[in-house]
Amino acid sequence: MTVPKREPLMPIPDPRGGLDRRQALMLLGAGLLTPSELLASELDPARFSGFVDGERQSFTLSNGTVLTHDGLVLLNAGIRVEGGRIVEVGRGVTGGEDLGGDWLVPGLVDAGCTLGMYEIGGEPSTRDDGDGPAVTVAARAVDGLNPRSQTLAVARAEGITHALLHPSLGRLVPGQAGLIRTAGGTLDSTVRRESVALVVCFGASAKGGEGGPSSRIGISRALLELMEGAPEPQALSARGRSGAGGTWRENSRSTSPPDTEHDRVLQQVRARSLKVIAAADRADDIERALDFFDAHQLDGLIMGGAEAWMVASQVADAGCGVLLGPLTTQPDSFDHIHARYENAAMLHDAGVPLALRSGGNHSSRRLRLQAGLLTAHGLPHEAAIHALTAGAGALLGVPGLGRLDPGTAATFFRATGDPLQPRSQVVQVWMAGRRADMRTRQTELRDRFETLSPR
Amino acid sequence: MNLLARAAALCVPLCVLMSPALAVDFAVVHATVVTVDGPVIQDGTVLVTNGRIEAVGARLPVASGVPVVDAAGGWLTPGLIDLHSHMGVYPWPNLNAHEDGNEMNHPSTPQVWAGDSVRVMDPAFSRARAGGITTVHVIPGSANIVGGEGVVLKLRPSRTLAGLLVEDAPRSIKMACGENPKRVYEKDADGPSTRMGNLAWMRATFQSALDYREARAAGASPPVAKDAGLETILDVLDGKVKVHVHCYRHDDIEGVLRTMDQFGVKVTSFHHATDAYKVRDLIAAHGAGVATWPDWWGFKIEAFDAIPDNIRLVKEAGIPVALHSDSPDMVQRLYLEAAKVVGTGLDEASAWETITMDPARLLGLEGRIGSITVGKDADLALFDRDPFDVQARVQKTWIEGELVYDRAQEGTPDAHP
Repeated sequence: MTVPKREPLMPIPDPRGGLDRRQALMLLGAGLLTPSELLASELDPARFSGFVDGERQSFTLSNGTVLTHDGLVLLNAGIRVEGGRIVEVGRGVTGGEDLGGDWLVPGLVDAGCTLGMYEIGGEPSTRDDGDGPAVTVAARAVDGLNPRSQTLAVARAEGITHALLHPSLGRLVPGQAGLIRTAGGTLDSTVRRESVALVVCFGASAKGGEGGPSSRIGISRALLELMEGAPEPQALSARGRSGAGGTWRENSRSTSPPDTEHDRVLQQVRARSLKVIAAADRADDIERALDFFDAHQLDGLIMGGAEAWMVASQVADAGCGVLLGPLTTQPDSFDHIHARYENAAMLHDAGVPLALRSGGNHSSRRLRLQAGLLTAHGLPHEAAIHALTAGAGALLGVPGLGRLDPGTAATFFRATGDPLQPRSQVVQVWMAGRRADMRTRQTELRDRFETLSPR
Repeated sequence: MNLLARAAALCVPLCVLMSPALAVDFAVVHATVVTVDGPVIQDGTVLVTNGRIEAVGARLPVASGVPVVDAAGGWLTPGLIDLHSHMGVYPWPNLNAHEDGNEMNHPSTPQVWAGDSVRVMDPAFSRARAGGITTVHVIPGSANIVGGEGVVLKLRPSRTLAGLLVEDAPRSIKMACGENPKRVYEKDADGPSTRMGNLAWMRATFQSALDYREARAAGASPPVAKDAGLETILDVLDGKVKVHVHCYRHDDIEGVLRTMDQFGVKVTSFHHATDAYKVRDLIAAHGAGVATWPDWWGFKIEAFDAIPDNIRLVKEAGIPVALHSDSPDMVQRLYLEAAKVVGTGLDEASAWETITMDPARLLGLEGRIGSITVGKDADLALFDRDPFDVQARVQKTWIEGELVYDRAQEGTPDAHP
């Protein structure tokens, strides 16, 4: 059988001179190459960095369609990058490579997922997305990350450049969420923030873990006990806090200095130097989470939010952002009975700041289509783009993340059209001015089987 | 034939179009019509009579008095078809007590029928209708080597199974191999716990039916009692039942084909088949089809080699491909999943086949559904724009001419119909 042979999206120059990995392995298998001859190309760790460029580049792209992080569509526009930073972006840019109308889009942020924390969902031996008792404050998602995971490569190739990693839900306090980029190859290069927030679960997602609560009554009690046992933040304690002093809750706090990581993290939470992400879907659980933030004066975000439209004004009044998703549009559980497509649009209309999340690992690449779907149900296109880019950066408190501003790291991608459209293809991703490797295990399999071997 | 008779004969098709007496139910006008069996028609008209497609073409005349739906440039497509659904047998909300899709007490349960598990008022049905889905193949899960018979439903609003059933649809059976059966039965004394065990069970199931037939024919004493499950397997062996096999890995596909060939059984389609691209020549030679997703991968090791180009490669090899959902979530947007495959380089006409004509063929209902063709059931979906545009929404869905979903009236269907 013959099928048309397509060129790989972006051939990678091979240091050995034109012999790709598979050809080299085939030659090795046929006895035509010795292992030592293979070493130079096959065993170069840089091959697994997720980058093609070794260093931050300077380049110009023009005659494209620039989609800004505010969702503006700029025709006949381009970008100029020097030393990995954006120098100029917009309509004035000329010269350099002609984009032929292709789109330039800020790198997308998956604002809540388990990317890179396991390879195979059904194989426990590959899973590092959390374990232990119901409350593991000191646990950090980034400690479960494999920076060379294929799941990062696949997400990267669809324009996901950053992700907020959280331990899998299903326990009361599964641990801390951290920020990664989807290339780097080493932990040092991949992890951007080891800890962005402490994750606390409400509702069905809080039931589980050794000794954990199995009812909403137990969840509220256990969270109260957790916070009562948390050490007083020094700064706040010194200046006092209106409305909090003298209550039984205030009086029951420990005043001794923290001597464990558990205490240290909770102190940061109390001091609002570490955010709290409350995973909550059912409307009343979102209300409980808002009360929890208020009672302890926390810097909180809601994550999930399947029924958030029902309490949109309360969320807006609390000034609380929502890491919305995974896309839930249906009564598939008793925590989602009132889930609906218009959720994002209604939250946006109420003035709630949004970021979007896949909640998954292998599914992270579907985020841009999920965002597109929200635009079919009332969310303005520019709001969807903002939520996927700068909006996520702002909610996570990471300056520059998701932005296409002069002076920020040149992290963006080229696509054949609107990134929210399913027919658009991501052509090339850059992170901090370095071309990302667009090859994945999946593109290699595609290339290998475009034409079938005789047996 | 005299002149008068000839004139009368010529007149008949025209009269069918023009005469209100012949009860044209309604006409859809000014639509971009994706017929699937031919080119896309601009400014198209579709006439529906007695639940069937009466005529289709560009700017056809519509008799006065016929109710008209003005599509205003929207896109009219065949009702979409999902070849792999567990709606009804794993109804919403997901609860332990709602797990009615796998009869997990024996590796071979050919005697069960998915129709007996269907929760008729599963709210998933109304969501699927709102996504332009008109026909679904609801099948047992993949716990068993032989899971049981499937059922073909048309998603009319109904409080009875009878109201959903496509009664004359060809029979189908769900079989499985690979990880699921061996995981479910690994601790059973005689259940399969390996891939070789799976295929041995498949062979033993077929052989036991042949032995049963022989014993019955021989008039053994005492007489061999009639066994509903073995009767079903005999019908499979006799080619009276379409065989759909849950199968991911390429060597599992090859192994199933080897086993089926041994017993002369034809596989209608391999479901999930994330490795199908690696052995598409074998699948084509057997004459089987494939049912799969565009981009699900990695949830288990046998799905680790899934690639977005699978559908394109298999379809280009001439194999019918049903883009299936296996999910009450995805089924609401099957048209956008097909659009993703266009992104891999598959032509749009072929992408349309994967959610209409190809699943119709694999159900054995190609003469009745799957395209906007004169004489076929008037199962239609009207979108407000090109359905491969992410902003597209279904405005109306018809089943056999009956309006079963109307966004103007219903918006997004509610949790409780």
